Amino acid sequence: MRSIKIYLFLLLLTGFTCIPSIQAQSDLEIKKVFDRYGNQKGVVMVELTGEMLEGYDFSLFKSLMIKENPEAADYIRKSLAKDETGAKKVKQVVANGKATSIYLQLPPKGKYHRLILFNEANKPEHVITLIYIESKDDSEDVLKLILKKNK
Amino acid sequence: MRIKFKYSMTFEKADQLIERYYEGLTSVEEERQLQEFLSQADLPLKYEPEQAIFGYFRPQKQNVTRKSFLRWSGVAAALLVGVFAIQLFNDSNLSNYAYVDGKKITDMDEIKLHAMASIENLPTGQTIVEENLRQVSSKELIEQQLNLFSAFE
Repeated sequence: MRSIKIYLFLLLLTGFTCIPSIQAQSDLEIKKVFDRYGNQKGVVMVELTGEMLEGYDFSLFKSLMIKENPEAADYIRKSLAKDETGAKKVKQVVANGKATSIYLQLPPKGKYHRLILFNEANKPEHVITLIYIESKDDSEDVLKLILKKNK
Repeated sequence: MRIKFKYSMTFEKADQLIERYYEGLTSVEEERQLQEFLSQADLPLKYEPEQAIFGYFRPQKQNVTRKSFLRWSGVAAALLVGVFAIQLFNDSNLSNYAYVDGKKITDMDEIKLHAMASIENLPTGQTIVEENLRQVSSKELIEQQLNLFSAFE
C-alpha cells in the first residue's frame, strides 16, 4: 500500500514538473500587461516558445511593442515595481524622474531563468518595449547576448 | 463412516510441530509439513503469526490488498491521464504567434521579424551609459547654476 502511494506521488511530481513553463510567468504582474494590451490597436505582441529565435536559446519569449501610449508606460512601471521584489535590477535609466529603461533579472523558477526588459523611447516616436524571457541558460548570459547582438 | 480431516494434518499435530519449530528441533521434513499445513486456506486465526513467519497471509487479506491495489492503480491511471491532458492543453497554448493591431499572425517569418524588432528596440549597454552620463551632466549643470545664485546671497 505504501509503495503504491509513493508511486502515485512520484507520478504526480513528474507530471507537474513537466508543465512549469507557462506557469512561471503567471505569478508576475507583467502577465496582466500582456493580457491588457496584447490585442489592442497600435500594439505588437509576440509569443515564441522553444528554440524558435535563431541564435537565442529561449524557452519562452514574449514581447510587447506599444506605440503612442504614455499611460501604458505608467501602468508597466507600476507592474514592474511589484515584480522587482526579489529581483536583481541589472540596469535602469531614469529621465525626468521616470524610469525609461529597466532590466530585471528575476529569481529562477524551477530550471528557468527569467528576465524582464522594459524600455520607453520618445524619439523618433513614443514606443514602449516590454520583453519577458525564460531560458535554461543563465539570465546574465542571455542579457549579454541580447545587448551584444543589438549593437 | 470416517470423516476426512479438512486440513493436511490435525491441529494437535500442527501445534506440536510449531512448538518444536520454535525450539529449533524440527527436521527438514517436519518443516516442509508445517509449511504445507500453514499454506492452506481457512486456517484458524491462531495460526496467523506462524503463517506470517512462513510467508503466507490469510486469503481475505490477499483480496483486500488486491482490491486496494486495483483501486489505487485506477486512481493513478486517472491522474496520469489528467496530467497528460493538462500537458497537452498547455502545449497547444504554447504555440508561436503574434498579434499586430489585434490581428493574430501565425506566419513564423513574420513573427520572428516582430520579435527581433522588439529586441532591437532595447537600448544597448553603450546607450544606457550615455543616457546616464547625460543625466549626470544635466544635474551637475543645474547644481552649478544654483551655486551661482547662492553666491549672490
